[in-house]
Amino acid sequence: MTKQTKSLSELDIAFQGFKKNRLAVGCAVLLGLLYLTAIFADFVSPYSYANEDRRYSYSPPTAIHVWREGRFTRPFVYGINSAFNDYHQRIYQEDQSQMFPISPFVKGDAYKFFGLIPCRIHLFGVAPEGRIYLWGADSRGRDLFSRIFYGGRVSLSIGIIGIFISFTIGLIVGGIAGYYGGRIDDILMRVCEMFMMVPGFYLLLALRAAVPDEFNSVQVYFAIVVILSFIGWAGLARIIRGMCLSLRERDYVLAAKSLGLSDGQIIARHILPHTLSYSIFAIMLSIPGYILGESALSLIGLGIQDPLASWGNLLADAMSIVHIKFYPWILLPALFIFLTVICFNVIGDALRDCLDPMLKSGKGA
Amino acid sequence: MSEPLLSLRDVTAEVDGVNESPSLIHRVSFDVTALKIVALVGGSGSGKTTTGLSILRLLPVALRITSGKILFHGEDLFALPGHRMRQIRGKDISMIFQEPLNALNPLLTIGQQINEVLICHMPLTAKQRRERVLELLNIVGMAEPQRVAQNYPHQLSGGMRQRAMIAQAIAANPQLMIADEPTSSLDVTLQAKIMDLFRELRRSLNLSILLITHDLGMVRHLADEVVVLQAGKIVEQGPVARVLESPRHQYTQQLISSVF
Repeated sequence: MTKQTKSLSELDIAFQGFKKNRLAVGCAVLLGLLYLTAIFADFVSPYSYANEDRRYSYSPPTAIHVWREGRFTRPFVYGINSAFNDYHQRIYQEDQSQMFPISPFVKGDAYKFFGLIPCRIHLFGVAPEGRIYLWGADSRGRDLFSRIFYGGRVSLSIGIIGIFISFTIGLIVGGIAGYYGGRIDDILMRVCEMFMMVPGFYLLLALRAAVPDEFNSVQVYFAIVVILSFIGWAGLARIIRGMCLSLRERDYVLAAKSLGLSDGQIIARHILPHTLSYSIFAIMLSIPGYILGESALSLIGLGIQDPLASWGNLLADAMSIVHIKFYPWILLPALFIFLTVICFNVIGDALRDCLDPMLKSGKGA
Repeated sequence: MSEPLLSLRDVTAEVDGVNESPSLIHRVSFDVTALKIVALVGGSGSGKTTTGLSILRLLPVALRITSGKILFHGEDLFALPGHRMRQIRGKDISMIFQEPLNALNPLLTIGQQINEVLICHMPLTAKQRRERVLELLNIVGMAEPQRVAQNYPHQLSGGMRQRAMIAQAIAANPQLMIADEPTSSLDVTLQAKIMDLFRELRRSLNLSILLITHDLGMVRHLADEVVVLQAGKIVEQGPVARVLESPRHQYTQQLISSVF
């Protein structure tokens, strides 16, 4: 008999297996950091997403210096001068006569902390006369570093909210279809197939076209979430339904019926929880689809609208090869999309390894 | 004698949609009187379990009752609407199954599973339900009710799982318990203990039991009356002493001679 007082559930055991996978834990930490920077985007970034200065259009990343007149000093940046070259391109040069130390917790653009507490403090920044572009600027002289974190708010949250909506629908529809079977099953599955039949991206475009023009950015955001979930739930419902078809034949379902539990209770407590191990890694593996879906919409200008940032519309600038050649830093949002998608996939795979009993028994050999 | 608790009248079940199919049970009629333990015996495939499930209207989708009545307190169970039938399941008639490991949900603790039945059928507060769970585990003879309530089914031994399932079945004070081969997955000493428990429950909870089994030893020790099924038909029924001592039908004689 074991000493522990609290019993380990299957999930606890699976979590212990997950902790042994270093790569997956690393990805989870990285993902956690990305989400933190998105939540605290106002604070982490030196400028607000809309703070622009057109004198610094496509300014390259600002160099940070720590060496001046033969001595170490606190980090600082020089002022930036611009001139036009023979091809009417701007050439930026450091103006060594001006020097702006980088200070922590400086006052900058006003924002509301958590949307509630008015606040002006930023993690770091320079005096208002200078500009700091850690990762360069975009065409309007907005700080890409700041905009990436603001963009993360949209891109990262859309995956979570989207999967939440489509999973709720998928579990309910799949659970009902699988548990009752027969005609209900037929009708629900034909509806699912209708959604799966239409190629996803075109359905996305068609639905987006149906969203009224006068929607403000928040409404557009929710419209996109709903559209993405609307497309995503059908595949999931089918798989859940398949699992429920076999789960409903289990003895404990018959036992639950014989004890007078209602159909809703049986589906919710005795059938759907058994799809949990599948659902958890399916969630992890589906979230990237939502992030990519939003990025694709925003990239072609149908998603989040300027000046609001999302990783997709930040990349819209990078659609021209000329821009990439001269201002390579505008590709940075792609790196963030890439990292996020990789992280979710690695975590999803790791979860599948430790949740799927079939794989587990195979590993022992 | 008063009106029987449960009576089956000419119950026939067939495979749905198949013409000319042999009926699985054919014109089965017997009574369960209050406080009696009635045994339903027969070989594999004789229709014992089908009879048990048809009382609760839980036959698999492919099977259908084609004629007959099942009266519980004089009320025809087949005529009841679905929600009334659900109130009767667990509350008035409950059922326990052959393999407790399969009949308990592996993802919920024993306490949670008993609690569920209480939520369905008893108007109790959360605190009262917690106490009732411990009380029930105590009634079925669990040594450490507190610990067992927090355990998952796989952490219990076979005998304890069977007791946990019985606790679930008696949670809402039913009048009748259908026990489908309750001891066939247990060893002989445990079988004796479960039989003791059944006797004890009948006495303390006024429980009648419909015992579905192929174990004539158990029938002899536990049951008051016996109904012998062969290929879906009743071949003999009567008090246990009479049927086992002087069986009239050849099939009953064969059953007895193959055991003793």
